[in-house]
Amino acid sequence: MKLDEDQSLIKKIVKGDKRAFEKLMKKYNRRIYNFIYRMIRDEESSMELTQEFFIKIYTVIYKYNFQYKFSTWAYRICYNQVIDHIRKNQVQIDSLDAKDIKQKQILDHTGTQLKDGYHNLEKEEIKSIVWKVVDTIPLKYRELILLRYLQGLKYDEIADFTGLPVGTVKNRIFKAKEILKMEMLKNEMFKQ
Amino acid sequence: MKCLSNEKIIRYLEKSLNSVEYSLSRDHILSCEKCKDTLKNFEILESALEKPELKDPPIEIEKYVMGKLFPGFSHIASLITLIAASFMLLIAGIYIYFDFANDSMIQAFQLTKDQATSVISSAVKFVSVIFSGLFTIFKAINTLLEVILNVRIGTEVTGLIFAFILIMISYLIYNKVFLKIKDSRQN
Repeated sequence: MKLDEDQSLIKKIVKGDKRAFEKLMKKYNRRIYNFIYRMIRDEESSMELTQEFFIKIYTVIYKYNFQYKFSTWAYRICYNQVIDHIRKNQVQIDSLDAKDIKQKQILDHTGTQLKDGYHNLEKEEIKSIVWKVVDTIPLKYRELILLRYLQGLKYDEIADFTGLPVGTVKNRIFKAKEILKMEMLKNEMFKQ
Repeated sequence: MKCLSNEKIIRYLEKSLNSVEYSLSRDHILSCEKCKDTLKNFEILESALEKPELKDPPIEIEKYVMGKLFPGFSHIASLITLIAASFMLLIAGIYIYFDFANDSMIQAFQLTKDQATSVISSAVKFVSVIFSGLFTIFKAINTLLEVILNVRIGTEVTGLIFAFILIMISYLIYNKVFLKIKDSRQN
């Protein structure tokens, strides 16, 4: 069986190569941290959860099945860890959601409102605004957007992760995009 | 024809409609300005989502994880530097003690210039030459300090201060430059 880059690193890690683990961590650190941060929106907890994630990965790496992609296996562990954290800290997460409304209002009032619509906005600017809006949408939609676009998972993989039927995953992602489009229209980022 | 729903436009964009639905939707979009704009908005949204904005993770994450999983591992570099520094200080100490300038190190090893043919004696001679050079520089700096600032601190002490500064600079260069280059290569 031909091993990909991650799998070659895992082989080395299992043999005790610390540098290989460091390399693997460097590769996934940014994506994992950003996923966790966008899910719970608390820098300190995101840092702690990312640290816990990598420690967990190292301790269970021998259980990894080489038939599957490492990233999918790792993202599943990360997702479960974040969901556990959210369940344990529901009150704090809810209060953070309330903060989003304030953020949304800030965006409503001070956002880059342009009379001529998106034609005047730079691609990078639009990207930045879209992702700011993603942070403000309810968790049940946000998590699916993050799994799809930040982790790059397919609909069936998301369904497998979340335990939702594929149809529900698709519908929620459509709904999330509708919400995002509405918010962009409301802020005059998009042409009506 | 009635305008397309958002869901249909998204599915049109994702190419997940069947061929008949796809053709009908395409024909409608071509003739309807409103749906054309909606499609354009979703296209922009999709392209923004496909390239997520990623924040830099705190550097503490890697340090903490490596330190926790492999205690002492992150300090290997510091340890090597420390050994190198100790070695340098040891040589400097020996030099000062035996006064290299007078070839007394060679005497300490009970070597004469004629016998100095082995690898060890050649190495000692090589170090001796370097230290003699350095000793001359330190002497000059010392004289300069004495003339300018009227301070007399001794050539040996000057040598030790310079050795210490050199070690610190090497350590900083290693941490700031070498590790950064290594990180960027790995990324």
